[in-house]
Order: sequence, then structure tokens, then C-alpha cells
Amino acid sequence: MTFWILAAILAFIATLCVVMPLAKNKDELVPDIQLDKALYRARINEIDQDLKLGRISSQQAEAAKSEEGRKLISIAKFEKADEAQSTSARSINFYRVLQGVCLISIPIISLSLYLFLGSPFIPDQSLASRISADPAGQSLEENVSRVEAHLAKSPNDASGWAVLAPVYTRMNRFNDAANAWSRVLQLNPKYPEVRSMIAEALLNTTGGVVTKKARDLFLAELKINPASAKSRYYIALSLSQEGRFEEASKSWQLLIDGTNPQAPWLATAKQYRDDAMKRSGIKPSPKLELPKGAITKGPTKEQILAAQKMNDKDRNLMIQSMVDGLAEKLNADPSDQQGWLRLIRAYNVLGNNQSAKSAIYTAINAHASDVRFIASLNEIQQMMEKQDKQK
Amino acid sequence: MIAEIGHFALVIALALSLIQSVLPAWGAKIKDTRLMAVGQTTAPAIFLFIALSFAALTNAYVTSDFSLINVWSNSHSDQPLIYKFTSVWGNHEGSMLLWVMILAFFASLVAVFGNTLPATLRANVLSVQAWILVAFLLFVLFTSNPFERQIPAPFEGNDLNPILQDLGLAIHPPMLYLGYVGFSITFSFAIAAMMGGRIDAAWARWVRPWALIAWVFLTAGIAMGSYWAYYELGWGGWWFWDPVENASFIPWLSGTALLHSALVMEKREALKIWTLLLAIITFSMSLLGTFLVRSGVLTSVHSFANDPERGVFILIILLIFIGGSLTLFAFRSSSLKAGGLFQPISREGALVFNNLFLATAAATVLVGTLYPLIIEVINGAKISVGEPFFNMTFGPIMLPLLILMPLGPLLSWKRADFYPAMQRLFAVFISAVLVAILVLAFTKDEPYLAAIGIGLAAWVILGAFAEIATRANFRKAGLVGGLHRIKGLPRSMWGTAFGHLGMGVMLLGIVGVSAFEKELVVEIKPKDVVTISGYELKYNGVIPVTGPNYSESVLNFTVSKPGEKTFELNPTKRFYTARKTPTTEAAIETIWLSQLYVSLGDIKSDGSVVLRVWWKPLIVCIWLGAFFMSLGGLISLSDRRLRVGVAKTSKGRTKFKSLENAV
Repeated sequence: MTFWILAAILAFIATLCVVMPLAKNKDELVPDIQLDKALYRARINEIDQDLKLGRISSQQAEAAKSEEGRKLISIAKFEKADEAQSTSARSINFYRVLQGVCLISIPIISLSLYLFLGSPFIPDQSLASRISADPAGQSLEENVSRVEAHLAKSPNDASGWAVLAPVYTRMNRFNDAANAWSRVLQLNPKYPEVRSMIAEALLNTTGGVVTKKARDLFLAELKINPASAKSRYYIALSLSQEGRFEEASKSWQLLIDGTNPQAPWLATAKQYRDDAMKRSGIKPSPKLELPKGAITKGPTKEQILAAQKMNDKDRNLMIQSMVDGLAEKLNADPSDQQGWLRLIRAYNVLGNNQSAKSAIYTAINAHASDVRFIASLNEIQQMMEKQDKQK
Repeated sequence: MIAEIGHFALVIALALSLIQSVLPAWGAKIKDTRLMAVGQTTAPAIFLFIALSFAALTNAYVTSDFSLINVWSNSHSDQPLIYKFTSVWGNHEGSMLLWVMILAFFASLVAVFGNTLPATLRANVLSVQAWILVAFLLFVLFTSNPFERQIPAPFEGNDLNPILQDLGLAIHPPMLYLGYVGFSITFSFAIAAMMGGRIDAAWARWVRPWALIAWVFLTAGIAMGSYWAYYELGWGGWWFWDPVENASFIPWLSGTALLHSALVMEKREALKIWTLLLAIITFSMSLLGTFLVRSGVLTSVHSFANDPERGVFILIILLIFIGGSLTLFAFRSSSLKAGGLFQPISREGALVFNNLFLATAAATVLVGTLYPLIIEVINGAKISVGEPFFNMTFGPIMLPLLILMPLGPLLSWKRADFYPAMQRLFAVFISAVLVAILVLAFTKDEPYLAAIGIGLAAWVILGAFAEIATRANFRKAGLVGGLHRIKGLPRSMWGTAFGHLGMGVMLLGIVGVSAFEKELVVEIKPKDVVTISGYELKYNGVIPVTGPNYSESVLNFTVSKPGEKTFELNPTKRFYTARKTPTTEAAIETIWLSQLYVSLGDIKSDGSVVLRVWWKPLIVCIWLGAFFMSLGGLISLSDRRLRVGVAKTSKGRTKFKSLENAV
């Protein structure tokens, strides 16, 4: 409302600027000849000055003065003729009509143009006002920006990057995710599965194709952590993609043999294995034809979807191994709030609400003074209780 | 709400400009004082409304209101406050708002201080100025609106281009715009005169102060930009013949020509057509520069708006204003009577010579700037007309101008004798030759050209004061009498002297730095020592520093020279986190008129770095020269000759009263 009042005042002032001069009776037009006389005098003064300074001789000065005089006379004639045809008094109605036109046109032009261009209902959103807003009510992007700002100031916070990376993946910012995981690797090379995380993020940027860089990362992960099912899965996939079906079928078989039969991605792995076996069985110069077919075909949409499905549950397995490490770490150093939240969520995702609740209890004890943190923990607890009831 | 008020104020400014573009001109046509008076209130009002709008935008920048797309894409909440202010015009939309605000500012100056102008001329000028305002306000509102909003507001902004995060941005664009846009007034004066006003000596007198103001700011703005590029870009160069630099230099050349030709028109009523044409061309060149920079035709540091749609819009504005004014010119110029006659050797002759060469220089730069663009349009080939072209053409054109520069002011109007003038310059000539000989004697292996160049600079510098020395006439009047006479000299004479002095000082700097510059490129490790021109630079190591919105690695050097104070130099490599852009901050130490300039390559992890060190003798003279030129302009502006009005009736001399009364 204040806006409309202020806008109305502005429009009113603008209109006044036009209407007022039209209402006031001005002095008669100063004839140009007055100005010319003034100019003439100035010129004569200057000529005198030049003479005094020795710029011109007295003879030249006289000549110059008479030239100025002639100019003035010729102008005067012209002006008199001009003046004769001007200054016809206009009726008061002429101005009234004009004022009326301006009175209507200025506000109308301004308002209609503004309504077309402007956004009168969007309030100012200064940084200060946005910061004081409750983070819970803010968008994902805003919270990501917060974490980004935090990381820009303390870029060595490995756990910060590890929190941010999966969020980037969720926002389809795969390059950023890869970068974030790379930071984690740089800061904490022992972080579980960090190499395969980078590789998986890279995979997302290439549309599921396992590049050499990604492959190398998976291999590096396997060296440290030979049990990494994720790495083995994608290495087998890369062999299939390259058309090295004989090796691929062996890798798939190994993966399938060494896995819990409940693994969600087992079916797809088997499909890949069968496909690889079938193709390696035909064997017509695999270097020439098969790679071509493999490349042009690529992973189908279903395959990608399947892989993603598996990934989610695959991640569960992985989380299980990570969760233990995290729990250990937090018991040793309970100051990492983000770590607690991640641990609790992880237990929850794994279906282990009992452990989750005990973790909440420990976390609350460790951060008894931080009201906001406790509030968010309580929220999670309520959510879990709801889940339990639904079950 | 504040932002929306700003937006609304801008729209009101457009509505008022529409009124102002019609009523005063109509009033001038039908000789109606009330209609003409409208311009005198609307012009300041338009300025205030645009200023309000500008203040609202500034407020959005200072409070980091990222719901404005423009603010979000060009600033960051971590910026130091000063850059939050300068960010307002460190981008296309905001700088166009500044452009329009200055346009309105000049119009309001005419409205407020134009009492000495004939009412009809003032009304017409205000209307023409309003046409330009309407065109550019439409441009801002419809293609470059800084008040466009977005919801939800992003949490953090994209930051200002790191190269622009410098104090230079606080000074260079506003100065330059005051110059660029200031020439809109001379343009408006020219159009107003052709719309039925008078085109005579009086017109030239009225238009000259406006041309001077614009010229002063343009000179300072270009010089400031040059110095900024010199220290910020880290290449050590002060002028690159970059198309955008040229775009500001062309109006400067034609504006300088305009200043000089208006002098002839004012004193002798000659060169009327030419002066009108220059007034039109100068502003047209400003518009052309705006088009080149904003349309995306060119790429450079300045082209932050690469949008073809905007380009087309400006092109249309350009065609209407340049085409329209030249058409009007074609109709009116044939009806003009020839003015006063003069001999080739006279003050007028010298000024014609000046105009000839300045106009040729402007045309040369224009060709060199547009030629590659035209070639690219015709056959798609990308060619570069760089420094070699300009050095080969521009230098030789300026040379005769500089040689004859001291002579011009010594010639009298109408008809002059060459020899007395030469006689007065004899001492100056001998001194200049002496300087050249001294330079030859005290330098080794330097080309003769350098000695001649410095001799020429001495000629221009000393010659600038030849007229003042002649008028003081110390020989005849003695010291006291001479000083007394100097006090009585008109300020315009001092203005001329300082303007010309500035050219000489600038030439000195240009010759000094191009002939005697030393450059060194070395890779160094901490504790290494580098020597250039007697200065020993000891590299102490790298210090990491965290700034408000960047992190930087500062290299610390201790510089010493026997017999001089030791000092420290800290060239820096910065990394701006929001835009993920690195910049190099050169370290510069000024020693008298020379500078030691240190710039960096990439820093390796062991602290070794590729270092570029320059010793730039006399380089400060380049910008000092520009300062003197601007100062000269300001002194001229203060001359009372430019303030002739009706109010001064009482001072008339009785001797001529009879004539006045007769007419």
C-alpha cells in the first residue's frame, strides 16, 4: 500500500512540473536583440583588452570594432522583422486544454507502462532480511548456498564437502558433485569409497559411459578397498562398454559370485553377464564389429534406470560399512553435528530405527547447549515415530 | 518496495521526457513563453526522477537484494562496500542508467544555468535533449532494464567481474560518461540552431562552454581509463588501440577540433558550417562508440553486453539521430552565408590547419577501428588492425600539429605576419634544440628519434607559454610591471597555455617510455635478486592473504638502489572465489615521473614465479599531460568571456551607447 501512495505522490509531482509552468503568466519574451547588445559590448571589451595587451594594433582594433558594429546593425534589422510576426496572445483555454491533456496523460502513460514492466507486488529482499529468515523454510538452493559460502571461507572442511556432494548429485549438478568429492579425496584420502564416489559423479556427466578417468578411480578404490562392490560393478560395466566381452563376462561372474544373493542389482548384473557371454561366444573379430555395436548402442534407457535403482540400494550396503566408521568417529569426537545428522539418517534409511534413536540420545547429550540442533534432532525423532506407527 | 519505486520513477522520467520533447520546441515555434518554460521545470525534474531511480538501484546493490536479476548477476554480499556502490555501473544495465542520468543532468544544467541563452534556443535545446532521452530511456526500459526481478531471490550473487573490482571503476566510467554524454548538449545546440535559430558568432559563444565541460571530462575520463588499464591489466601498456579505446578517442579528436573551430566561429563568424558539422559528428561518434561497445560487435574488457537485440536497438537510435541530423544539416547548410574572410597565415588559418589534421586523425582512427569489422561482415575473415597501423598513420598526422602548436596562439586574427611570430619563438626553438642535444649527449645507444622527440616535447611545453611571456613583456615592463601585466591576462589565454602544455608533457612521457623503457622477464625463486636500471629487487617470498571476497598470494620484494630510500613492492595474484577467476595485481612504485612496474606469471608451489619487471621512465607524464589539458579546459571555462548575459547592461561603455540605442 505504501508503494501505491508513494507512486501516486511521484506521479503527482511529475504532473505538477508540467501543469504549473503552463498556468503561470510569464514575462514577455526577452527580445534576442538584448542579448546581441550584451554580446556586442563584450566583444568591444575584448577588443580593447587585446589592444591593451598588444595583441592587435590600434588600427586593427578600430577595424574590428566597426565590424562588430555592422554585425549588430544587420542583426537588429533581422530581429525587428522577426519580432513583428510573433507574440500573438493565446486564449486561456488553449492552456487549460493543454493542462488537461498533461494531467491525464502523464499518470496514464507512467502507470500503464509500469504495470507492463514492473513487479509492484514483489517486496525488497535484501540479504539481511533473507539471512534472518528461518533456514527450515528456505529452499534447497538457499541452504546449498549457505554451505557453499561456509566452504568458501573454510575450504579445508572435508566433512562439509562430503555433505554437499550428494546434494549436488540430487540437484543434477554432477560436475560440482565430482569436484566436491575430489576435494574430500584431497583433504581426507581415507574417506570411505571417496574414489568411487568421484568416479560415479563423473559417470553421471558422461551419461553412464565409464571413461578412462572414472575407471582409473574405480581401480584405485579397489586397491584400497577390494570389497567395493560399486567399483567392481562399474569396472565390469566398462569392460562390457568397451566390447571386451570375454573379460567382462568373467568380471560379472566374479561380482555375482561374491555377492549376497539379496543384492538388488544382481538381476541386471546377470543380464550383463549373459549378454557378455553371448557376444564373446560369437567372436567374429571382436575388435572390429563388436565395439562399434557396443558404442553406438551404449547403455539403454532401461539399463540406466536399472543401474540407478540398484545404485540406491547398493548405496545402502555401502552406507552400512560407512555407518560403522562414522559411528566410531562420532563416539570418539562428538562435536560434528552434521556427522550426527548423517549417522541418524543413515540408520533410518537402513531401517534400524533403534540405533537411530540411541544416536539421537547421544547427540543431544553431546550438544545440550545448541537449541537449534536439538530441535532438528527432535524433529527427526518425531518423524521416525510416525514411521513406526505406520508400520 | 524501494526497488519498485525506482522502477516507477524511471517510467515517470520517460513520460516527462515525452512531454519535454514536444512542448518547449512547439513553444519556440509559436513564440509562446509558457510552453517554452515547461522545459525549465521538466528537465531538472527528469534528472531528479532518474537520480531517484539510480539511488534505488544503488540501495539494492548495497543491501544485496538479489531479487533484482541485475544485482544478482553483478555483485556479491561479501564485496567491500565501495565496490557494492561501483558495481551499480560495472555492468550493462546499470551503466546505461548512469548514461541516461548524465544525459538528464546536462539537460537540467541548461535549464538552470541557461539564463544567458535566448529563450527559443534554450527551449529547442531542451526539446532535442529530450528526444535523445526518450530514445535511451526506451532502450533502458525495454532492453536493458536493471529493475527486472526474480523470485525466489538466490542466496548469493555472481560477483562483479574481478577486473572491475578496483577504485578505477569508481572514477573512470562516470568521468567518461560526463564527457561522452556532455557532447549531446553541443549536438542539441546544433540541431536547435538548425531548427530555426541563429547560426552565428553568438551561437558559437553559447555552445563553447558546454563543449569545454564535455571535453574536460572526456579528457580526464580517457586518461583515467588508460591509467587503470595500465595498472590493472598487468601488461604494462598504457594504450592498446583497442577498438573500445578508439571509440572514446574519436569523439575526443573531433571534440578537440570542435573547441578550436568554435573559437573561429565565435571571433570571426567563419567556419560556421564546419563547426555545426563537428558538433553533430562528435556526438554521433559518441553514439557509435556506445553502439560498438554495447552491441556485442566487439569483444573487450568493456563489452559486458553481448546482445544482438540491444545492438539493433542502438543501431536504430544511431540511424535516426545521425541520419536525421545530417539531413537537416544538408538542408540548412546551403542557406548559410559565408563569414569573415581571412588570410592563410592568421589565427584562423592556424585553427583551420589544426582542424584539418585533427579531423584527419579522427577519420584515420575511425577507419582503423571499423575496417576489421567491415571486412568481417563482407567475407568473415578476422583481421586485426593493431598498433602498427596506428603508429604508422596516427603519429605522422599528429607531428605537424605538434610542430605548429606553439605558433598558432601567436598569430593575430584575420591577417598575420609569420616572421614576428617566429622571432618570438626563437628562444623556445634554441632551448628545444639544446634539450635534444643534451639528450643525445647523456644517453647511449638510443635512437636519434628519441632526442628529436624530446626536443619536440620541449618545443611544445615551452612554446605553450610563449604568448603569455610575450604579453607580459618582461624586457620592456620589468619584473613587477610584467607580473602586473600577467595578472591582467584573460583566463582563456592561460587555458590555451595549459592545454597545449599538457600535449607537450604527454608527448614527453610517450617518447620517454617508448625510447628508454627497460623490460625484464625472469623466473625467480625466493631469495633471488633481480636488477633493473640500478634497482635491486630482492624476492622475500609469498604471503597468503584472505580478502573479503578473494584469497591472494602476495609476493614481497625489497627494492633498493644506492643513494635512494629502500621500499617494498607487493605484486599479487588474486583468486576471486565467486567467479572462480584469478587476477594479477601489479605493483608499481612511482619515482619522480618514472615508475617501476612489477607483474607476475603463475606462482609455483615452491614459490618460484615468472616475473615481469619494467622500468618506465617519464611514464607519469602521459597522465600528467592529460591532467594539464583538463586543467586548461577548466581555466578557460572560468573565463568571464563565456558568461555574457543581458543582466550585465550597466557595464556598457558610454562611447558605444549611442549605437546601441540606435539599434
